[in-house]
Amino acid sequence: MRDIVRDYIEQTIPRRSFVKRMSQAGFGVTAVASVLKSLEPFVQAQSAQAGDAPAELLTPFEGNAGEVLAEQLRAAGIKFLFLGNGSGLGPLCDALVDRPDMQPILATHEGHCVAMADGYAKASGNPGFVMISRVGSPNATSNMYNAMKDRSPIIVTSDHSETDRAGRDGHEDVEDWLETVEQFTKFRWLVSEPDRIPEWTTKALKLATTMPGGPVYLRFPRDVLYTSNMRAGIYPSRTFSVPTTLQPHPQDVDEAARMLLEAESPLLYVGPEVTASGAGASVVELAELLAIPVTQARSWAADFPTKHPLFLEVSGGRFPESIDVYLNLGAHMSGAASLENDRLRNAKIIHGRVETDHIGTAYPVHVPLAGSVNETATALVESIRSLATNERLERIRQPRQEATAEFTQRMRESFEFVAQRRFDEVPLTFECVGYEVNAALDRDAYIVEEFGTQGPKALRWFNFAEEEKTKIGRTIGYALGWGVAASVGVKLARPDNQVVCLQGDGGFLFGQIEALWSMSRYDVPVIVVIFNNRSYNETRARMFSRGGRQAEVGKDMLSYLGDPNVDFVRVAEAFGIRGEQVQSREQVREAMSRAIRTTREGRPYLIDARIENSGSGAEQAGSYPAYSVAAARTRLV
Amino acid sequence: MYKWLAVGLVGCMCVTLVLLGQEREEEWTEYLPPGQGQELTAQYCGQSCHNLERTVRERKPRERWEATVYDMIGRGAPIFLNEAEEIIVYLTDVFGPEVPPLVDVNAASEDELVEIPGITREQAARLLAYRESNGLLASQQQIREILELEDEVFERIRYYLHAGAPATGP
Repeated sequence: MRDIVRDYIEQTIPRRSFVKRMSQAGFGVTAVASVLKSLEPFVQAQSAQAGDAPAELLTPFEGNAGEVLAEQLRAAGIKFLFLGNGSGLGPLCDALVDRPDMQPILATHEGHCVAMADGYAKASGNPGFVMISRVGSPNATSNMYNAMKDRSPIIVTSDHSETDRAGRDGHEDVEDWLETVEQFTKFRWLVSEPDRIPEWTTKALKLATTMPGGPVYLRFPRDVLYTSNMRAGIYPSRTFSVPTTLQPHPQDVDEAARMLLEAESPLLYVGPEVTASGAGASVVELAELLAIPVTQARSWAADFPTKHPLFLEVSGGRFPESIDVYLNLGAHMSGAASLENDRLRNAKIIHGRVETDHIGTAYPVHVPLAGSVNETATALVESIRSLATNERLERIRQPRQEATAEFTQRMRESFEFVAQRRFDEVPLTFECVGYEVNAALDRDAYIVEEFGTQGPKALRWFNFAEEEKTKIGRTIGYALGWGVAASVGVKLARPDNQVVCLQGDGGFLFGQIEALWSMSRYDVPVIVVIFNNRSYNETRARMFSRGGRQAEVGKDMLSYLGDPNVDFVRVAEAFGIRGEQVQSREQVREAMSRAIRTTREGRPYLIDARIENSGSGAEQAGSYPAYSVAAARTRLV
Repeated sequence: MYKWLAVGLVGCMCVTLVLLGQEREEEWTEYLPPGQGQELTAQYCGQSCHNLERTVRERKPRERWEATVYDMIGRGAPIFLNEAEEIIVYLTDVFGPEVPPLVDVNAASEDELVEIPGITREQAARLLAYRESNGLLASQQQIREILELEDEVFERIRYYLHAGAPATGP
């Protein structure tokens, strides 16, 4: 009996074998149960030692490796698992059978799994979990790149060749799978010990969610995932959830506050860290305190309320006329350096963000504010208040407030005039469809968008702000093929909010049609609006605006998509999704009404809005280089 | 110390790039003929998103200039309504369908050169001969010297003569 007990405590035999051998040794069921109970503390201690973690922090678990992975994900609060096709997912899928609180969401392409997880993470603030086939990662990388550019917290996992043959460029293998995703991940690891599955999964979750976030990639060799009868210590979420609210250096804060107080013409440039760190309210408070006009960096979110009188929907280097202090909160400097460079030449640069290795690297900086944006903005407000009287603040604030509001109002009038004068045109304009979609939606709808340079025409009607509409997308990475799948993830995270996916036809044809499959299977009531101008309009406009032979002879060599003229309504019907094509303002209005009714009933709806071509070369859209293989044949086979 | 040297170097590079960009931008601004609206066009149609090359090469009627300007406003060009009308009128006037095209003297044929009012066939042949013997022309000033143009004539036609690289593109 001593040997059996030792083997059990040292985990060389599983619980089942222990019971069997004890029975064979003549012990009854009650006696065996009693012994098992008395041994439990020793087993827990031994389990914990396997991961070199203190036993009291871990929850012991006994089962196969797939169950260990599932338990660790469950302990971390993972509810949805975005899964792709792959037999290597067997152990995890087996584990999910008896865990109804963990819901697999199947996508028909690895890129969609990642986009769904990304959308879910952005809308919920929680990490998204993906598991795909070991040969699926190349398909996933486009949206892993997007997620990395957005610093989105997602964990991508896959199986991997068996440990005794991996790395030989054999079947479904290359020499180094991890290298293939290095640029698109914060961290990657091959998990080669079954008992360390919880450790690496926890580490992945921790790294993905620690600001600045980003995708983390794990591969599990098949023999590791198929390990049975093992014991492991599961990490409760409290053991790795560490608040990381980093305070900027007080001296830097005071110096920045003084600069802002003395500035004649400051500008606040906001980026995605504002939203990611939940700093929206504190950044608004800071801007309002000194009436600093605000512009938006390239971002997947609306990082400042878009209808706020201090928000410059457009600036274009015009307002303010000059900049003496430039406060960047939560964005790269790269965009600013290229767009605002003339005006920045004489400005003092204050750059605040948690991604501190980007401060002072792309652009020299006068005052660095290394810390979380929320803490930084709050600290700046406190410092400014301590340095100036209310009367002084009011003297600073009032003229700037008025000037900014006047500029914003005049820009808005200009936009609304040029937009509304064409509302009744056929084909439809971006402005008209955007207006009608916005008007039909709930105040707190989520808008997932994947537009190009025409996007502002549709989006400027929307009020994006806390407790108003929420914008998710377009990704900073700009790799097409994200929006529809991302909207599925957003709706999973926000089932009680309207979710609308605004998508160009070019982006929709970028392998996104299959995302309708997941949308239909899981009754995801999203309204998909395709802005369909049968072209890569942005591509053509950009190429033609540079002149060149295409523009000279009026031939569009690349961008026309109207042949074949895809009927997206019938495409949606093939997935069991109703929809309709619209060509006029009135039809958009009626279609939105039907779409909202359908989503209330629990089903998605697709609107194929026939939009005009615009920008350079619009007149040439359709003059593409036709070719027919059928006509080229010499044998009619 | 190396860190500060590196920061300084990056700073210098940024300033250099900015200056280079500005030189290129000013070159296309010079192809805007004088007139009411010239300043607004230079300021708000070629500063942020693109330069003015495409604008100064286009020739089109009012309705198409209007569509272009309104399209840009929709996409975020910072132009007030009253300014939009001034820009549209100006562009129609100086780059309307009847206005001679902007000719790349380094790529143009003799027939294309004589389309520019004020250039004779003899002058066009002289330009081609010079180009044949000496390579590409680098500046408008060079054209002026080769053709021995009077100030008044040069000022009138210089908006239609482009020297430098014949290929377009900002």
